[in-house]
Amino acid sequence: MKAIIRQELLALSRERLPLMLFTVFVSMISVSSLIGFLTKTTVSDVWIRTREAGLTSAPNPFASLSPLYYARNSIIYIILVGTLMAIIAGVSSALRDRKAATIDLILSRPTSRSAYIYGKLIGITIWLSLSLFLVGVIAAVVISIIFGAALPASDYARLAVFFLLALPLLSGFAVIGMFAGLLSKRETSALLLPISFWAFVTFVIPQIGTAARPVALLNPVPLPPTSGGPFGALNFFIGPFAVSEQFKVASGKILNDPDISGDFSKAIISILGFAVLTSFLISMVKRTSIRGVLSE
Amino acid sequence: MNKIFSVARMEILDIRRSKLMLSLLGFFLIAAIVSVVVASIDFGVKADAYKTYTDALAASGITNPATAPQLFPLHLMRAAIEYLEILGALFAIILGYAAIAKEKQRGTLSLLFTRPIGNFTLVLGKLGALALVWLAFVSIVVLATMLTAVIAGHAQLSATDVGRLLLTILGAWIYLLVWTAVAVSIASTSKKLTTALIVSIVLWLLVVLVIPQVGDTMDPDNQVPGGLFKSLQIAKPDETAVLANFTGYNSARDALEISSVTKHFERYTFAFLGIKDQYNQQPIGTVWAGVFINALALWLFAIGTLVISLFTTKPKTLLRTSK
Repeated sequence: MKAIIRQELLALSRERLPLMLFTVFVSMISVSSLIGFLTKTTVSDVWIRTREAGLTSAPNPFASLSPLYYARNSIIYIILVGTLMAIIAGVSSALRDRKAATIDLILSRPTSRSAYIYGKLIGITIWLSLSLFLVGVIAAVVISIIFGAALPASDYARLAVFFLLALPLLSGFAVIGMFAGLLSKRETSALLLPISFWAFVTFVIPQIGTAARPVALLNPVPLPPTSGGPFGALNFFIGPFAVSEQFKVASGKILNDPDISGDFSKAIISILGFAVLTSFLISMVKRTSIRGVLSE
Repeated sequence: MNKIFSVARMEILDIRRSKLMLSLLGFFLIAAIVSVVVASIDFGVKADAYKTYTDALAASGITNPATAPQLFPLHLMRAAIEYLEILGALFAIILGYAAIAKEKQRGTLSLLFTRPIGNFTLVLGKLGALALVWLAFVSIVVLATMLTAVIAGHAQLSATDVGRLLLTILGAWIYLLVWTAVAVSIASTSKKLTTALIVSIVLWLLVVLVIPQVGDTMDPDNQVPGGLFKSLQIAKPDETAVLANFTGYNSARDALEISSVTKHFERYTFAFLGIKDQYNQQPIGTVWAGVFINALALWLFAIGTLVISLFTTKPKTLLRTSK
């Protein structure tokens, strides 16, 4: 299994497609803190102007916000860019041996099917961990620069926990990508089916449970379900499957965002459950499916 | 001309036979219909809450000062339009990519170009077919969501509403054509098809999701739940006066937003459907004058991407990149 993990890490570091999305991911996480800073500065300036003009006596809404506010947008980039990166890494990994027609050779060695699958999965998870570690360090450095001083240790710890929580979410989507890569007959379907699944989980499921519009779901703050009617019950049953919304709840709580409402423990269970369930289900993929010939 | 029709006919036949494409389009249609049902139920819940509140106040001898929620049928389509904005663009990329990818994968290009066909025959046939498919698809989606609004939301449509819907169909059709043309160009010029698909998806991610999200995030009013100016209890004229001091920041934000074709599509459709308050229940002429720039931008994006796809999908390029 060690050889498979090593090979997976080597392949992922060489392949252009996961690296392309990784570059977008790193750029967006770096820029997101800067956007947060610009916005906060502008809002504070607006407040100063209105106060000076005698238009308001309300306190500055941003006066007591923690520096972790600047990491708020990272939540949405993990959901939009990070998960797609994980899917592409999963698909690329699963298709690699099928495309090169080396899968028969690998499975002719004393390697079990589960060692092959889990070796790849562990390799991808290590690659995702390294990616998240890197973006976490970048985010911490950028926020410290914007804040003008080192953050309190508890804030760094919160940032670390936030990026750590992203790992099961990304791993779950990487497994979905692996599923498609192992089972699809065509390369195009292998890429499109998990992306469609991602769109379903990110936009359609939350809408049914909360009546939130798809564009509103691009907001890092999850919307609570409409009170009354069937939405409370729908959200109770469907909500846990909206893992991206659950990730927003858990991350917001970790980052001390005062606007976040929702059940933290339910959100954590949902994210971990997603990762564990997908990891368990992939062990059921049959040997014949893994060896299936690609039509293109 | 007959050759262009032959290519187009073949393309439509291929799409009809593709289970993947039909599943994706079916998935979209169901998601759009469900979104209207959800919006109708949501409106019903709000209307019931208003009635309960009014009854409780009446029992105490107080008149409810709040106005009753009013149903504007076209507003129920908002989520469906947003699906077109996000998922529609993704599916347009997939269809455009597939139109070129399948020829490269099957190795039919060399054979095709041994026939006496012109430089633009293939691309015109394929784009023509995809344009027809999108026109039919958008019409079906709009019709189905409107029927759902009438049945589930008990909405009533006026003749003007039909005109607004036709203009919405036109805008959505142009928007999807833009994305299809982008995918055709990228698939034609890429030697590796997987790279073409991923590059198209990264472009979609940036233009459809990231840029509008950054633009919304930069809006100061979006930074406080319920709106910054509401929380500061500032009236609209004062808000405008205060924001006049931040023209540089607002111009940068606006420039970012208008660089995305998605934002133009959103502004155009939201205006005609009356989702944007200032255009709600306004005559079509007034709305048209207000969103002329967005309509023009949509057309320019479409013309630009279609022209690029014409020149990047020539036989010479296709043969070179399919080796």
